[in-house]
Amino acid sequence: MRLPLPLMLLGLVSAGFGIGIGSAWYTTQSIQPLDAIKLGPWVASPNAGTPDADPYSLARQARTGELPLGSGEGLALVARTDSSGRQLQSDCIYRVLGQTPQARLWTLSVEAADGLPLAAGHSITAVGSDGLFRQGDGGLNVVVAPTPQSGIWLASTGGRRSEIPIRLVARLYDTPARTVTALTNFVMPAISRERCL
Amino acid sequence: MSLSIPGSTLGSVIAREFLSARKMPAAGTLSAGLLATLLLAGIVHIVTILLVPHYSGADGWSRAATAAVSEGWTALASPDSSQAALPGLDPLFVHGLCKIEIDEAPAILSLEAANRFWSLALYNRSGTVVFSLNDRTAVDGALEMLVVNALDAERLKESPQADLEGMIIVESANADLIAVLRLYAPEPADRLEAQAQIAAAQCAPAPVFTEN
Repeated sequence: MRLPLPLMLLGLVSAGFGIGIGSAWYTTQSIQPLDAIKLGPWVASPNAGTPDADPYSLARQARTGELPLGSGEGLALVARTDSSGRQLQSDCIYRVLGQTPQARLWTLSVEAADGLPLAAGHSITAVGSDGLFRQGDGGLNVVVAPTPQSGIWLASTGGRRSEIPIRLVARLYDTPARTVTALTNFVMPAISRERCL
Repeated sequence: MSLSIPGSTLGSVIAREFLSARKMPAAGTLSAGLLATLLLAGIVHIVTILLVPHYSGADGWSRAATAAVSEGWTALASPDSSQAALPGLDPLFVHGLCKIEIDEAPAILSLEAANRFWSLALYNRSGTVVFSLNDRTAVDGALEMLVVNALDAERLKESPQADLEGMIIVESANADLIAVLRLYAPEPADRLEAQAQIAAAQCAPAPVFTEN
């Protein structure tokens, strides 16, 4: 049995459009830019916001609605997974441990996966490098958890709400890290999941 | 069988493949159809990716333009409010937005915020940073900037203005820009002070140059 020609053509054309738009949608949704640099779970996009940004990065940026930091300002590194590749969740306890790269100022913040602030009430969701007690080796030791923890604690929610995907963002200000070669020598702290509530 | 029929469009290729397929094995028709579909999908994919930045109403520029309501600098509300104007802003910073149009007159930007980290970026319509700097790049940590179009830049070169000395002159090919000011303010007391500094900061059309 054969389909009539117009129906067949219609099917082919709509399949073509469907696959084309679908794959475009998927690539702009997917997290990693083409020109990204990975340091463990941390992803940076040094070309974002510059004329060198590729079309995929531009499309993704247009959909997320974020305005990237300028090269004279700094660079943001975003982690959406822990160091073993599992999605960061608001109901889990994570330890961020290790050395941080060189920058005049940096901040570490917990945000919803779409970049909007978490409803954490009066709890602290971000720390800056100036107000931080370092470990003996100068490294960072921060706990990200929904409930209060000892040490430096960043609140991933205002309590035990429903679990949502979260992201950790390290923003380096006035940093030499904008150049790709400098980034490859970077060291970023590891993110390890301790347990989930 | 191939798709290299001279001068034919994709549609007629599909049609011919289909018509000729009556005498051909069904597998050939199927693979030609699949190939045509994939080709079309590829074209649609590329066109979609290129068009998204032009038709997205939720890109950074559109959101910032909506949030920059007043003349001069608009200080954004505290980031812990659920209706954040822009995603991905650093919660330890106080942000100021200002819409700039430089097609008729240059824009003058100034800020007095000593003893704290701050940075400024100028974005064009596509969300690309035209110019950015931080407090260490600026003279004495204070911002004095003039944003000009190409014509005014030319005028400035011909007749330098005495009162513009020490100013950072930025030439932009884009007439419409949005300036984003980021002031580091980790503590609540810092935030109040930073908001006052944004309120006192200047973002306005500059008087058009006089010929001297």
